[in-house]
Parts: sequence; C-alpha cells; structure tokens
Amino acid sequence: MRAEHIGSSIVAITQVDEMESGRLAASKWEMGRRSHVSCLDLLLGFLTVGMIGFGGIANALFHVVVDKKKWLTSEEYTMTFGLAQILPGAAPINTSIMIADRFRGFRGIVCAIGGLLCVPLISLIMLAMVYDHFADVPEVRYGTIASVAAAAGLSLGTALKASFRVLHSVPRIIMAVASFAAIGIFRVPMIPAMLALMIAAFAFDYLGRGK
Amino acid sequence: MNLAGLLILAISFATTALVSFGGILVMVPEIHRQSVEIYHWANDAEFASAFAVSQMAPGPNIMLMSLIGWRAFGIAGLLVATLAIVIPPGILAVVTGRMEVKFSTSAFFKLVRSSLPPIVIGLMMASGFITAKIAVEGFIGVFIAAGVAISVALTKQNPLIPIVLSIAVGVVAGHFGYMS
Repeated sequence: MRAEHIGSSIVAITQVDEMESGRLAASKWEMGRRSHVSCLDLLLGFLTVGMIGFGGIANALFHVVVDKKKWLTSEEYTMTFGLAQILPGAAPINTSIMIADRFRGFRGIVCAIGGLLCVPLISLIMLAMVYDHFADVPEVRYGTIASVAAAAGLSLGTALKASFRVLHSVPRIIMAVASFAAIGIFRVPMIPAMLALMIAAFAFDYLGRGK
Repeated sequence: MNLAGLLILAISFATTALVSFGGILVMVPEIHRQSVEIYHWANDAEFASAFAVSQMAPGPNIMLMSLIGWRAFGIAGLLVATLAIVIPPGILAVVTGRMEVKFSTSAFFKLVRSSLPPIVIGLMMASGFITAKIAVEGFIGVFIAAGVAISVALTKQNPLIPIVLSIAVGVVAGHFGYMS
C-alpha cells in the first residue's frame, strides 16, 4: 500500500526535466539559521511521521514538516525532496536526514531517524508475528497472494503512466527497454547494470546535444 | 550470533541501497535476487509474505528488507538490515544537502535528472514483472495484477482502493477454490 508514495515519487522524478535550475537556485533557503528546532522536537516530530505514515511516509512527512510544525516552507520542502529523489535510497528518508542535518547536525539525524523508524519497526514485527500465527489459514494465504499481485500491478501501472509522459524519444524508449531487460529478464546484478545504463544514458544525452 | 551472516547481510543490502535510484520498491528484483536466489535468507513464499506484511505496517518501504533481516537473523538482523539501507544513501544525502544550491545548478545534476527517468521506468516495469513472477499464480492473480495496473495507469484515483478490492477478490476467489 505504498501506492501514493511510489506514485508521487515516480511522477516527481519524471517532472524533473521541466524544473529549471535557475528556479532551484532562487529558492535557496535559510534553514541553517532556524536553530530553534531541538533534537527533542525532531524526535517527536518524526515519531509522528512514522506513526501516521500508512501507505508510505512521503505524505505524512510533508504534513508534519510543512503543515503542522512549519519547519520548512512548501517550496523548501519540494526542493529538498527533489534533491533526495535523484539520490539512491528512499527519498522520504533521505529528505528527513537532510532536514535533520540542517537543524541539528549528526545528533539531529540520529534523533530524527530513531523517531521515524521505531514505531514502524515494532509494528512490523508485531504484524509479522500475527501473520505467522495465522499463516496456515488458507484465506490469509489467498489475501497475501492477491496483495502481492496487486503490488505487481501497481508497479506496472505506475511505470506505464509515467512512460506516457517520459518516453517521448527513441533513445529514452531504448533506455527503458534496456533497463527492463537487464533487470527483469536477464537478472543482471544491479550495480554493473546501473553503471552501464547510466553511462549509456549520459552518452545518448551527449550525442543528442551535438545535433 | 551469526556474525558472518550478518556481515554478508549488511554488505549486500548496503550496496543495493547505494544503487537504489528511484526508491526501494524499484529494487524488489535485486532484493529478491540476493535474498532468495543467492543467500537463501527466504524462499519465494516467505519473500512474498514479507512483502505483503511490510506493506501493511506503517512507515517507509525499506521495511521489506528489515523484515527479511529479522526472518533470517532475528533482532540483530532487523537492525543490521535497516541500518544498511539507511546509512549509505544517508551519507550521500548529507553531503548533497550541505552542497545544496551549488550542486543543484551543476551540469552533472541536470544530466542525472534528465537521464534517470527512462531507466527508472524500465526498472519499475522489471519490478512489477518479477513481483508477479514470484507470487502470481493462476487466472485470478493475472486478472488482479492487470486490473490494478490498468486502473493505476489510466485513472487518478487513490491506488489504495484497487488494492483493497484485490485482496477481497483474492480471499473470495480462494475461498471458492479459484486460487491454487
């Protein structure tokens, strides 16, 4: 049920083309000076994010950081999230780390991530134990298969939706097909696959500019 | 405590995290490849159930890997797996965050931003494909996956609705013997 998160994540990453770097530069923020946010504030704020973050934490993070606590303006948040998105790892977690680092440095990160993960991890283990207890009930197994099938459909559908707006040139279609084939069909290990794909994408980009 | 196993878990998940462009769910094929095919921390059915359970809990997607760590090595595995996914990209995030504007206006940043989306789309397709191969059996499973895919691709409604509907369809179909 990470639906909205994946949705927002891939949609945002497909919008990046359109973002002008000038606009990014213009929205440089002064967060470093807002030192009124203490480690305890971070801990409690991110505790809330973890607790209410059903269906991925991206929406909950925005709600707490921007709407409720007003630690960042909407624009600052969007910029931070945009940066986090082109980095490896989960974008909402990277965003949380960047925010906490701005306010309180390393100790802030420890408080924020500790707060963010403790409730979800405890719930995860409790759910896993409940699941194990009922794993022999056939209906639970059917429900599991159905929810994984739905998750598969969700990934395919999200990719399809994004491809309508992203795959508008032959090199881009080639890149998408190549990454699908490498990982989905040939099961190439991710690190060499990503390296090769990125180099190919950079090369296409470079050749495209030469025209 | 199985220290060698934990070390392999940490290295495997940390390196996966470092190339997880496009989020952790895009990495499902790689996580599956490592935890089922190479290191045998789980079999296909356990992987599918970990996937389902980690989706039901509140919190970030990375908990699929936390749960695999817990299943294989207990509480130490849970912590090692979680930290292995959070820390390496986290260090990059801190460095990037501190460079902030300087980085976001650089040519490299723009290059990555325009090159990444097609790759992420391919990876996400692969993720859906592999996830389907792991768990989908029979006509009903294909029907559910295709139905959710079409509704997500063509409508703007909250995907939670088709997913909850899918689980209901699966339970009912299974109850009447239409799911193996």
